[in-house]
Amino acid sequence: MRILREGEREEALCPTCETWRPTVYRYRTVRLEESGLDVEGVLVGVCDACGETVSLPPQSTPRLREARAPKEHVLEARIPRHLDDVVFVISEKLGAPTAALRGAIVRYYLDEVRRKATTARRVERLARSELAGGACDTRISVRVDRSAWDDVWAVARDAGVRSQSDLIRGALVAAKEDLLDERAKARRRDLERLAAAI
Amino acid sequence: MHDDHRTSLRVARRRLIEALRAGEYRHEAREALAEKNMLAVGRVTPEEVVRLLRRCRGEQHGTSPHHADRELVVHEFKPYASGRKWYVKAYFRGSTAWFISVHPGEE
Repeated sequence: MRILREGEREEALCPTCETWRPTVYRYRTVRLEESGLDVEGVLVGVCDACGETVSLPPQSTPRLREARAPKEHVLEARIPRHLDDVVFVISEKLGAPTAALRGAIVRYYLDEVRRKATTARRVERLARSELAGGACDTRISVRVDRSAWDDVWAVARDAGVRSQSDLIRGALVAAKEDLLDERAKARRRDLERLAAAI
Repeated sequence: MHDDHRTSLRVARRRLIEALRAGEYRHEAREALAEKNMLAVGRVTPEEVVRLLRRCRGEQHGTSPHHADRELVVHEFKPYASGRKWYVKAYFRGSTAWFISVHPGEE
């Protein structure tokens, strides 16, 4: 795909002038009439003669799609404070900033859940473990890809996970076992690579 | 069905699929864009449009002149997919494909 820049010129069949006209690419706000949604900063072809928006290149589609249906799902959970301590200890061990690593760990385990029913069942079991229990007095929030989240939640629900909070609590206990109790060398290597990239 | 018609479908479909794969296409700006051109706003993907085109049989393809340029041949593909008839309308200008519509019908 050729990426167009603002100011580049082409031709388009202008529906207002009803003929082919030279066009120039400009970033404009596009109104999606059905929803009344105004999407800012969309590259469009503009008719030289009448100034109407006459064309859209494929590179503008992701911006329109994201405006219509946000790609992110914000996963929020209440967890006991000692599970957040687990994240701090792991961060120290891996030498990565806690705030960024927290999301990376959760996303890593969600992907594991999505790909392996055994991990989903493990997370469900760990969400009921003693370490996952206690007063849930702190909140964490992680942004995840919406379509991936739909798949994760379908697998997790099939495994018996009852809530988003259970899923995150189970994932953090799994991280504690894998990294601090050194139960899973492959996962530890994966997480070390993740941490190095933060 | 005439051989010419069959050839027209085959050639148009191949060119459109090539344009989709290469990203060498544009969308006409139009009213009701999100409803009438689902490819432009990302409600369907180029890969899904390729699958729709591949499902299209001879009698589900037709051509007509563009209302604003009678010399332009507009191809209309009307394949069935997932129990619905789809409409894919496009034309070519040089090596660029121009999409007018990509949407399912009411039925």
